[in-house]
Amino acid sequence: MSDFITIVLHGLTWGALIALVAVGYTMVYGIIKLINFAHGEFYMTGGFAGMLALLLLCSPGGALEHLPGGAKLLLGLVAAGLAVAALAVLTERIAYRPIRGSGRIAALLTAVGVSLLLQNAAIGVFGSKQTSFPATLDDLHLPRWHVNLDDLREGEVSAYQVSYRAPIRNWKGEVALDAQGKQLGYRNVNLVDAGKPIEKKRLDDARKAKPEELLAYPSITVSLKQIVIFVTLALTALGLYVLVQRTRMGRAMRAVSHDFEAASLMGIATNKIVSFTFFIGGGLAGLGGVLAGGMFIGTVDPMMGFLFGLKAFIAAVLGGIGSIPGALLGGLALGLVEQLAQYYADGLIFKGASAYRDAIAFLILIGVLLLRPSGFFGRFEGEKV
Amino acid sequence: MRGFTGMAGWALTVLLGAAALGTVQGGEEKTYPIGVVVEKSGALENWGRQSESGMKLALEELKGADGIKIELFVEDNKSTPDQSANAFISLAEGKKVLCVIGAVASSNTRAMKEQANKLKLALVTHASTNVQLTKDTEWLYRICWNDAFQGAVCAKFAKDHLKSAKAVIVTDTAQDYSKGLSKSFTDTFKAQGGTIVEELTYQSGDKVFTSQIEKLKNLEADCVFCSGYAAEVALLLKGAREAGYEKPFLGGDGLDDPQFFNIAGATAGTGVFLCNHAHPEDPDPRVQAFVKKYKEKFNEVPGAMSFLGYDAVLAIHDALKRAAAKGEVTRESLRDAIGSIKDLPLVTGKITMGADHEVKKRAIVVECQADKTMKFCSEVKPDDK
Repeated sequence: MSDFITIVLHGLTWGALIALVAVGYTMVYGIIKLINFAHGEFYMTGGFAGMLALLLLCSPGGALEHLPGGAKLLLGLVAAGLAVAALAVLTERIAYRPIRGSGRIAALLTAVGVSLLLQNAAIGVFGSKQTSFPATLDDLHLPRWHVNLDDLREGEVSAYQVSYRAPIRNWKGEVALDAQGKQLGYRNVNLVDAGKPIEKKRLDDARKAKPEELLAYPSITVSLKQIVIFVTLALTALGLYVLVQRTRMGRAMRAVSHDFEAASLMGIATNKIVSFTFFIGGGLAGLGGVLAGGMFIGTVDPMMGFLFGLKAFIAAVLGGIGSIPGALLGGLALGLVEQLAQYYADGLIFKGASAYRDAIAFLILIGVLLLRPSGFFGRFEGEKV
Repeated sequence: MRGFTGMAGWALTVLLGAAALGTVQGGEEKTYPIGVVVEKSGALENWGRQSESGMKLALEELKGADGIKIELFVEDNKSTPDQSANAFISLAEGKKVLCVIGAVASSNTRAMKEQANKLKLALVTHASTNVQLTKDTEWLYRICWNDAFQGAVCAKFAKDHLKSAKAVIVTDTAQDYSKGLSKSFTDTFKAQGGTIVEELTYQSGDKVFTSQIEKLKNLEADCVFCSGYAAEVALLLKGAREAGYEKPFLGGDGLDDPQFFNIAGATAGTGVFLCNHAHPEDPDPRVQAFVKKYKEKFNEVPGAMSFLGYDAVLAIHDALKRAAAKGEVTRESLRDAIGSIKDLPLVTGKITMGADHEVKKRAIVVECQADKTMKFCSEVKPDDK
């Protein structure tokens, strides 16, 4: 049971990252009906921009070296968001606007071209291998939250699996707690030291360890990283809702989305609206790149945007392309299904089936789309003749 | 068409004539073109770089000794099998090389094996360890040990040093190397009375390992054997340690890559053992001399691939010398000379090419440290097996 909850939480986190990128896809589509295949590369660029910002600003000897990890992360997020937003606006201005009247196929091919260009530029600059991301939140050493479902019973003494982590690996045992969570002592303490003989002194040291030197390992892990990702997604959703539904700019966006030419005739500066949409969409992809590359995975590489962008696109379609709540929900659903498939496919389908997690996730999505062709929130619009 | 072949024939005659003239005028010293196909870009680019550096150092030291001057034509296979085959064909047809050295990854070498058989051009792999490579071929030779030996060494180490009775295997199903190594580890580990609790899988390029980690946490095992390459295993290790999983990790020579330490960071020092071809801190004077020269020239500590690249050039030089003593060096005569390498002292040990196209050398097991170095743990001679 606890592993199910962990995987669900994990799948939702992964889904939240997909959702952040999917929102940009869906917004751009909503405004100019362009499937921007370079969007995955905006996400990749975000990862690299965040990495560079952190390396430059927080490197040893730099002015910001001693900032807490959370502040560094925020800095990286802002820097990457702005850099990628600028890149997105620039891309639209240089590559998409000049051919806006030339039909959707031309626009689509241009988007693929931009995608390849950005990928290869990144390979040229950074090389094609994975580059590890400077640590940010790891520095905080936050205690893990621990809930051991199997052991928690009312009124009983519960035992938590603990490990002594000061010199990293050393002993493992259980700490007995009473119902109020007060520590009673340790039991079943064993040194785990990769086959080497155990010194008595170290065993005694471990037994005497203070509670704060212990990290209890939970059955369900909720990490700070997951919380940061969820909070970012929630703020994004809220911000977008306010922007689109409650501001003049949002009203203009909705108008442009509804009918580009009519909006233009009504005096809306459509080019400005398109640029603004790219700015927001690109910025969110940049945040996604930092959160995914920097925190969730820990490395960035030039090809990271390819499959991820595809997933974000599918999430947008699943939610109903053009719909912002749809993209958010589609992303969460896709991430969840994918991670559940990865975890359970080996046992439920056949051994080795977990390698087909993407295929399984996509199959389920095809099923959903067969039932609801326009996605969760998509409006079905009859073809205008 | 006929005109073209006729012309090509003439051009070839003229070229060959010129080449013959060149060598006559060159006097005693003769230049032999040798091809190299290694991973100079892509996921495994560190190994290609290390291999090439080792080879360059060997060339520099040989300085055309014994009247044999080797000219290396190095091609990049971009870490993929199809590019490996292309590079091999281009070296065979375009550069008219006498034999080819490479590649590092077994899947890449396997792609070249078929071409080697077809074009009748010897392929000497300095680092691919998959057992199947040297089967059913007259043209592929290996100058390092194979995975049957490596797997056995790892299984023995797991039992004798890590005191493991139960192991989990983690396999990269996209790599021949990983599948073969997992199999040979399983065979020996079971033969010595151990149990394989579970085989977990992933595919090269995967970056999210939460599912595997969650499974690991729920399995009762004494150690984890990872037969894949550095980038993925490093991400798996890092994630597992962050989630509180502390059992020792054991891997093959596929982990000896600077990538591993860059991605794993401090978690590299948390009980990670690997089987390797050579060790820079080996007190053997020959190894120390090599390490010193390598450090001076390239300003870094040599990896296993540096040692093997260096040795590959020495082995080819030895074969060329013996082939040249018997007359004109052809692809066939060089192949035969490689097949009859006998008691040749190399940095990684003395080799004798067996009838099975394999050599026997010792293996070393080292423990990774958080400061990116490796500590010597044990040595296994081929006959100890």
